[in-house]
Amino acid sequence: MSTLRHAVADLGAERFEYAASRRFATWLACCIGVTVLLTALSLLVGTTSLEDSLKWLLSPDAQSSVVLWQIRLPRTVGAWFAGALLGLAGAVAQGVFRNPLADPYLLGTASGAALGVTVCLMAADASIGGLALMGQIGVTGAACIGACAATLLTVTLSRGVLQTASLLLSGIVTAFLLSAVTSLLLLTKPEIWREMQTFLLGSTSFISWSSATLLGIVLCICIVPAVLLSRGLDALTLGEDTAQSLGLSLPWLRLGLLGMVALATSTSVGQVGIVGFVGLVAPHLVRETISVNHRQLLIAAPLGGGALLQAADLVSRWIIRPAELPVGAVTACVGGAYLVFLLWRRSRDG
Amino acid sequence: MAEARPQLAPLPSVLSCRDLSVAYGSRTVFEDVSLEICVGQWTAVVGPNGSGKSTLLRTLAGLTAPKTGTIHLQGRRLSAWPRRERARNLAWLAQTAAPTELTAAEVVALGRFAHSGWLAHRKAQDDASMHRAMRATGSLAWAQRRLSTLSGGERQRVHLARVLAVEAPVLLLDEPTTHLDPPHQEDVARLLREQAHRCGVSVVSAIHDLSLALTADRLIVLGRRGVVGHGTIRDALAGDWLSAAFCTRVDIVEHGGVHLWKPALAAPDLER
Amino acid sequence: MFERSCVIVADGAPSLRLGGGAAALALALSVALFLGAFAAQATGFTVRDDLDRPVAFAQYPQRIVTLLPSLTETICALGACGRLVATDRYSDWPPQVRALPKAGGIDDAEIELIVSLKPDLVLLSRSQRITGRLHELGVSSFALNTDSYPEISHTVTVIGEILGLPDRAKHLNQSIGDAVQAISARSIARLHGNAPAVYFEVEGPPYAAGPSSFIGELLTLLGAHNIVTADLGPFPLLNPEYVVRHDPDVIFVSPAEVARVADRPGWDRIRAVREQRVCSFIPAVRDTIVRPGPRVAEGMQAIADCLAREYP
Repeated sequence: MSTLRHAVADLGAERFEYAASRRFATWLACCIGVTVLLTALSLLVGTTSLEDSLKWLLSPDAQSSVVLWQIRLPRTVGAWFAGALLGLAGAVAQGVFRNPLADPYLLGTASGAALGVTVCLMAADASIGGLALMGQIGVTGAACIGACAATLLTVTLSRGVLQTASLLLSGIVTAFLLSAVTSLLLLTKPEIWREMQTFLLGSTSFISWSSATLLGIVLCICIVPAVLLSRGLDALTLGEDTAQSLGLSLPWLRLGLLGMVALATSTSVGQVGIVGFVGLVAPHLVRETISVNHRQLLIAAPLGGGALLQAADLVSRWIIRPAELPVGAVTACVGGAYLVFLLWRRSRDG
Repeated sequence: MAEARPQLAPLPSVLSCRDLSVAYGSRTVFEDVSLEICVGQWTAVVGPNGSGKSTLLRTLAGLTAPKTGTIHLQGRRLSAWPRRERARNLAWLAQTAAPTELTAAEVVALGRFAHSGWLAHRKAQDDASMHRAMRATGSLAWAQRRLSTLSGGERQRVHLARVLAVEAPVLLLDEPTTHLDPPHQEDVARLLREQAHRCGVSVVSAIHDLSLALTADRLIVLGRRGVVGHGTIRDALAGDWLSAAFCTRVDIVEHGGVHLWKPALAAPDLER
Repeated sequence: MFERSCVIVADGAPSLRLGGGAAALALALSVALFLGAFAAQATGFTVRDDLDRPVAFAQYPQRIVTLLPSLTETICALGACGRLVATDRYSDWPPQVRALPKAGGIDDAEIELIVSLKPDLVLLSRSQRITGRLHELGVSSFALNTDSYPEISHTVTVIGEILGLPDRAKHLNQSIGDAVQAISARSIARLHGNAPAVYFEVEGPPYAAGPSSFIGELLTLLGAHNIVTADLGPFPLLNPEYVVRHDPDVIFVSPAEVARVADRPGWDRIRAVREQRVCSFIPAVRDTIVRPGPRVAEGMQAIADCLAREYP
């Protein structure tokens, strides 16, 4: 604080630094530390006991190296990337909609992905041609396509990105509409319900190195424009009219940011299914712990989200090993607990 | 609708509108308004509640699309200005500020957005403008504090600093003195006068405090049915615009060179 | 109706004595028959269903609605297909039931349709929630649970009792038991004591069939060794590395997953995947495996055939 006071007291041509405050640096360090720790732990956690896993690390054989490096490590890395994508998308959504409880699925991406997967599974079941198609694009591709289609539908319904309120409303309408269609389809073929459940509850079980790489690439693609546009989000916090008067092009800003949210969310949903709460809790937690501007938030939130989903993945494979919990169930518990804590703290503070 | 009384030498207008009509849905706010904002003058917009002061400023800033009419900024149609260039030449202050978690310095730095752009690569010139603006509004002391930790008046001064940091030739301020205590209101008035006379900035501000408004150079008086009159203070007093606009509920008296308002003694006509 | 009850009651007909007391005897007989008829109506029979409710039957039901495919198949296997007036939408065996009206599915039975058909009995599973509603509307319902292999014979026996075909039921149980025994013995003999490690994946990744599930029981009967242990429950959601570590000899997956099993991280190392010992069943065959009912032997044979093919 003393350095800041000096900066303020000096009435010369001082530079106004965006204070990369000590707290922000601490948060970054914490997240990176937790990530490293969790990655190390994830090599030890699975269907074997900790001792056996340690033995594997020290004296690996063919099978154990498959389990460690082909299954456990890509899983935790992929989970981190997916969590980071969700954290980023959530932070951006909260900024664009100026609502601290927004989450990345606001545009109906979750329902769209679910519908895509349902259609794909039904096609696979129905005909050989359908099976071939499913083999090509797979469940992940179908989820991605569905999520993007849902976003397009939302933007079309709200007739462009001009009004935030109408975007929110159309997002809700799209979500309900597509959920209804999905339910109707499932009624005709309830055998795919079990597989849908895994998707709907989220699953990190099958993340391979190729999935993890894809998630990583998309994260890099999304985070660069997000950080570049962060100043626009800052301006948005002053109000839409003020932002416009400052020279901001609101439609383009919204289009760019929401497109990024759609890309991030649909990729994540395609790989790990619908994992809730990470996109909501990560940016919210950052804001509650350290007050930041958007450029810092769009770096801190992905780091937090990644660590969160990594931790959830670890818990999901540890608690009832060798069986697993769906990772979405774990994040829901964590998210729910966090919200309850917030409520309690709010009522305590009066 | 009174025409502007010609001055000795007509001052060039930097912002003008012709036959401007604005409506929200089916409700017309004002119709066929034609105004000229003069260079280097502080123009105050006064009128009763609901007469459209904020709407007028918003429309002039290009934030609300008018139903009919045109607006010209420095001779060019407002709609023809590219967005960033317009933002550099026309700064607008909102009546109510949305709550934000940014620090005061970050808020004021946003005022330089039109100059420095997205990448926020701030040059020394930006810093100098920010510094000047914050010093002028007395908000340097809390540069690193978050806006949510400041009082209403302190926040207002930070927002004013933001608008000043734009260093635009035209300022449109909607109630710049909200939340400010009387000494600071006087400070703002002095600041606006200084900007207008010394720096050549054209300031248009909607001010609800009549006495403060009467210290400006020119007046735009809005009534229930549109512009009652626009011109110098003397024209306003001579034409009794204020009485007309406020339905004979105010009287202007002069005291020690300063114009003050007082309630008229006649029984209030609440219906009007 | 009266005649029917007479048939049940009058097992041993009273000997007739002609002559003097004939009239008195005739009167006594009529009175006895009359009383007997009432008594017969009062007894009928009562059976407890799997919800532990006593369900009373005045006579053997002639108009039956089934809401579970395995129950449909059981009734038809007992030769009482003609008594069905409606089934659920998934019942498709034997082919003649496809022409019957469909009364919905497991969670959305069409109550209006059921009531309009005026059935004597509705057979459903324990988990279906319409029993209360049916009771209010005056329709008799009977809940049966068939989740495991031993429960099949219980269901067959109970249905036989209700339909008044206890002999056929016994016969059916016998033939099912014999067929299953035969298949099991053949399979075990063929294996010569080498139990192949088997992983059976039920729809969706990766719910595995544990030994306590119906499928798991079939696998055990065939002499295969399930890599899933009993303590994990009937259908655990496994960590994929579990399968990799246990390296099964043969894996069973759904047809859609067959091509993609090798893409799962680490699974290309599994013996079964490397040597292409992957089994899958077309939907029609899959139905015989997942519906614990009279066709259990067919399903079991399908599994045994694939096992024999892939693990000679």
